[in-house]
Amino acid sequence: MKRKELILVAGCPHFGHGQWNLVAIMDQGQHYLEENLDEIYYEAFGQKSELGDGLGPFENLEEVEVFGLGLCQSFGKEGFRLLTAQEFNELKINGLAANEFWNKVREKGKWVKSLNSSPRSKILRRIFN
Amino acid sequence: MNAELTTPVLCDDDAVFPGENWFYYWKTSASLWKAKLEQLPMGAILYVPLNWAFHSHHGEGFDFGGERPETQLAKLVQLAAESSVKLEFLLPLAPAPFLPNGGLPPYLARVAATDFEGINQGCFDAFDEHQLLFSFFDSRVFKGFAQFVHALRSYFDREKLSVGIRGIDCGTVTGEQWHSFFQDYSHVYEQAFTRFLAAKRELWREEGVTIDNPGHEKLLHEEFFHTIRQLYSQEAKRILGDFWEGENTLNFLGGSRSDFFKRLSGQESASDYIERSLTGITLGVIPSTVLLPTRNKTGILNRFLQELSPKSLYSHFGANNDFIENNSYTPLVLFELYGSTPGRYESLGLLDFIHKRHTYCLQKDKLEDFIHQEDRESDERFYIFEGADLDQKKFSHILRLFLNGANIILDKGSLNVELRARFETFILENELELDHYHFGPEVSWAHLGEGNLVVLDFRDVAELSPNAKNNCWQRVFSLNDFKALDVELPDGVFQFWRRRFPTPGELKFHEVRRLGIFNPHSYKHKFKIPMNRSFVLTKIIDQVQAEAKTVNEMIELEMGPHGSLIFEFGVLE
Repeated sequence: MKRKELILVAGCPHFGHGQWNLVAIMDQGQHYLEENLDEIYYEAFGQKSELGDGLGPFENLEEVEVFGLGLCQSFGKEGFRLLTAQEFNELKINGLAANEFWNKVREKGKWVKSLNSSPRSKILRRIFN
Repeated sequence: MNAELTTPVLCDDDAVFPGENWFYYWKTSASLWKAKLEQLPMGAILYVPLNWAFHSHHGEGFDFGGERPETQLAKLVQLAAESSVKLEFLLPLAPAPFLPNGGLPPYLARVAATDFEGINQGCFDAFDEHQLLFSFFDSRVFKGFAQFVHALRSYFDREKLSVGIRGIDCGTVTGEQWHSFFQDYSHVYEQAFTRFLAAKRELWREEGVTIDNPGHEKLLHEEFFHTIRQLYSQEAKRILGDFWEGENTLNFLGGSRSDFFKRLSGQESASDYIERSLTGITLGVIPSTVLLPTRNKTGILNRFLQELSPKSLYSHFGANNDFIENNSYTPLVLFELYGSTPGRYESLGLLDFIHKRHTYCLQKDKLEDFIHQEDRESDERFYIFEGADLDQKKFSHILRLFLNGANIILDKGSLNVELRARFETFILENELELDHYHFGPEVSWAHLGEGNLVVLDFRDVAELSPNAKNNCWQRVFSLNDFKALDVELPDGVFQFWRRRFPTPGELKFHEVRRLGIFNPHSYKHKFKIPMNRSFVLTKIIDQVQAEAKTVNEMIELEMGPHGSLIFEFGVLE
């Protein structure tokens, strides 16, 4: 992956009444991030993440994007690519190999650029307040 | 994942024997079956998953040797017998992640099963290929499944095969829970659920019942899921008759959604797989490594799997105990928890107590399963019950268990009035003396022969501080001669206990226990295990990057990176 970017996958939980969850957050080195994300969510929204296995809830995709920008600033990334569950499912086919997958994600995901990619401490609190 | 110095090369045997004595008959030529089976030790049990799609590729009848020799299961049974290998077939009752399309023939793989958040279910197999899973809520799938099982039964009858078929529910452990791959939220599921709901509403209308509980919809989803899941199971059992050997639930390591992303990112961890295998054991679920590439089943994970011996658990957790020999090891269970209130045992500090001192020596079961299982283990485990779950029948069952010599802990706080009266009568009728203690809450203890009955109000325990809860449980379990070592390990280091009956040369022992300790991380740990007089250390085996010495009734341990070792103890009467 050329840029320092994150990949976010957002899904709609079954009992979520149109809300969204982040089901995967991956970084530039294609690492699946799961550590401390609950804490980051709590810091941003003042409540525990509690809808299903993913991180959420988010009221709409715009809220997911704002959170994604917060993550980029927190982790010092240039931006992120966002895929909805439907877009992600189109990639998740039989016989898919890992390296093909990453290329397709880059083609498919919506690119959202962060205005400030330098890492700052406690940035999320500032963004969401 | 711990990298080995040499990269294992995938060979044909890995493809045919993916792990735990499984055999993929469709992955090799039938002409090679004999040579493959001859590699196995005499008396081994071979588990052969049935590949429905392989027998029904075109949807026009079923092939059991007519077209392709690799579908001729009778020949496999015959060759196994010639090689003195015991064979058992496994019939998937849910999407099978190790097969293309989850095991469905292509003409039935129409609607992808989706998870709670709308992501299509699927995982990478041992060959790093993604396999999508398809919905079992499609009525065409159920019809096709029943036809396949009928054809299988007819074939077994025709060939006069005398071999068992065991149902397997396929899923994965995430967190503290096991999830079946049967679970699905696709539009096919939604349509079927809507029909179920309409039928329910009709029933309620006829009965004059009004339901306005907001949590009710979730319960109905659970009821619907279990109803349909049972439909597959009951249909297979009904059709297969005497061939049916019961069911097992399998925990496919590498099969969860987070595993999908970790496999994509090359971030699989032995620690994760060990933890989830052990959590699965407490839920009565057998770990399966058939989705893991050979390169991952090395080092610490391999040593852990050798000790865990998942292939020995099929009979242990299954309905058929024919293969359990008296001198074989089974997971040590010191606590068997029954309770329907979510988070109940966490709030009592009981799970914390068990996790700290006797990690993974517990089993969480459903009360319904408890009632239906007549032969209970007669070891020193504690059976622990919430009063609110009990009715007359279940309560009588528990009291009978106590009379037969079991250790029971009973929550009296939530017993209903009738059961409280029944309890008082039971004490009088059996002329039992109740000893009373104050361990924070008041605790009453009765014993009869080998049996111990401890009664306390769980609500009183819930109000204690974390330390007081811990002390309370410590004292409760000390009331009888509770034989266990307190093993508190550093974070990230795992322990796994097993037990077996003593051999004729070990008759001074009541039983033999094995403690495996595994450090999957790259840092060192030093710690001590306090011994007690009931335990005699007899052996230390399979030491890898680990040193142990006994000093002043303590075992001092130094575990290096990815180190492991196994202790064997004789337990005195």
